[in-house]
Amino acid sequence: MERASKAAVRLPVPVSLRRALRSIPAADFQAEVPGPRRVPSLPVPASLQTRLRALAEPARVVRPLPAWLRSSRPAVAASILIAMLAIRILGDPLAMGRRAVDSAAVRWRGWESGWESHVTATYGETRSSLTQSLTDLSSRAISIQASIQAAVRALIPESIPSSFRRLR
Amino acid sequence: MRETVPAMPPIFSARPTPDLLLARRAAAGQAGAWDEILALYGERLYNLAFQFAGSRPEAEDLTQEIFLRLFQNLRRYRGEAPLAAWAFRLSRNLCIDHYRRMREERRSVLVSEEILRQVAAGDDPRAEAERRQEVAAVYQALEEMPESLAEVVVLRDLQGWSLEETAAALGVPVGTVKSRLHRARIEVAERVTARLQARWPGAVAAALEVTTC
Repeated sequence: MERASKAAVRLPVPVSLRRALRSIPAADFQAEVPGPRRVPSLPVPASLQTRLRALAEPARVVRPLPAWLRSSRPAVAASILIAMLAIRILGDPLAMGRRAVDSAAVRWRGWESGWESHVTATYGETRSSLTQSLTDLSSRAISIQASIQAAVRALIPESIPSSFRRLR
Repeated sequence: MRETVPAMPPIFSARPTPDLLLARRAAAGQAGAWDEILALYGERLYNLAFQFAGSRPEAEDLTQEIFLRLFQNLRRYRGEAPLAAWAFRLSRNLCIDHYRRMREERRSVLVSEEILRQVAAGDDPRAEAERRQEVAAVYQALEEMPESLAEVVVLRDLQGWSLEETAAALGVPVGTVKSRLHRARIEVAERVTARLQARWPGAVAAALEVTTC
């Protein structure tokens, strides 16, 4: 057994087999495999550039109103203070109001009378103009009627009975 | 075989990376730092979002989400990966969700017309038509593939990210990216070949070209 194994190890590879093995090309797993071609590069659109730039801009912080302005009590107090100061500077608001109402009434009266006279004058003018137009129209109609009568008289012969002629 | 894991610099590194310095400046609200980040990575992440979203309005919304997360997490960035890859890793779920939704919605129209419109082949209408067919075939193949394989092709091949960036974005070692990429490319090639062979003989070789790992 031992002898047989030693003999087996020593067996040379036959020349024909060696030649046949050499003729088989070695499988090259590291060989480069072609890949697809690179696609052309697109430029970044301007709108996207703007959007991307805006990502790093700090968010705008809206400052809250001061507490004394947000609370109603200081606001009421401030209003009273402003009113008192205004009275002190400008005078009694009641008297001011009365004066304002009086002056408005005077103005209204003046405007009202002026408006009335204007309307009266316009009405008179329109009326007289209309009367004149109607008078002209009437006289023109009378003259047309007279000329038609004269034409008819000239055309109708004397043979027509008087009874019919009377109809003219 | 041992896989290469992206190097993780210590939190208080003696020599912080330019990305880390930039992130720190932006996190501190320094004027211009955020604009610099947008200038450096805006286009990159927008194009990536476009790949996942498939349409312009959705890509814009997705990009905004990505940058919002990036901004909110700037203080947590330690410079262990490029900023773009780190931002993508933060927003990966958003991107994947969009991608899934896109897949669901586009059962009839598989490839977005906007993506195809990006493909121009000069004045030759035949070449342009062929290229559009190729791109459509690639995207259709990606939509049919498992997400883990599709995303590595999107990042590495379609977007041209480096292996390290792709690994950092996916949170896996570079070796894993390499093996996934290998499998994904074979799958893409098989699917694209099957689609294009009948229609455009000879177009397969043009659709796929070797990308050095």
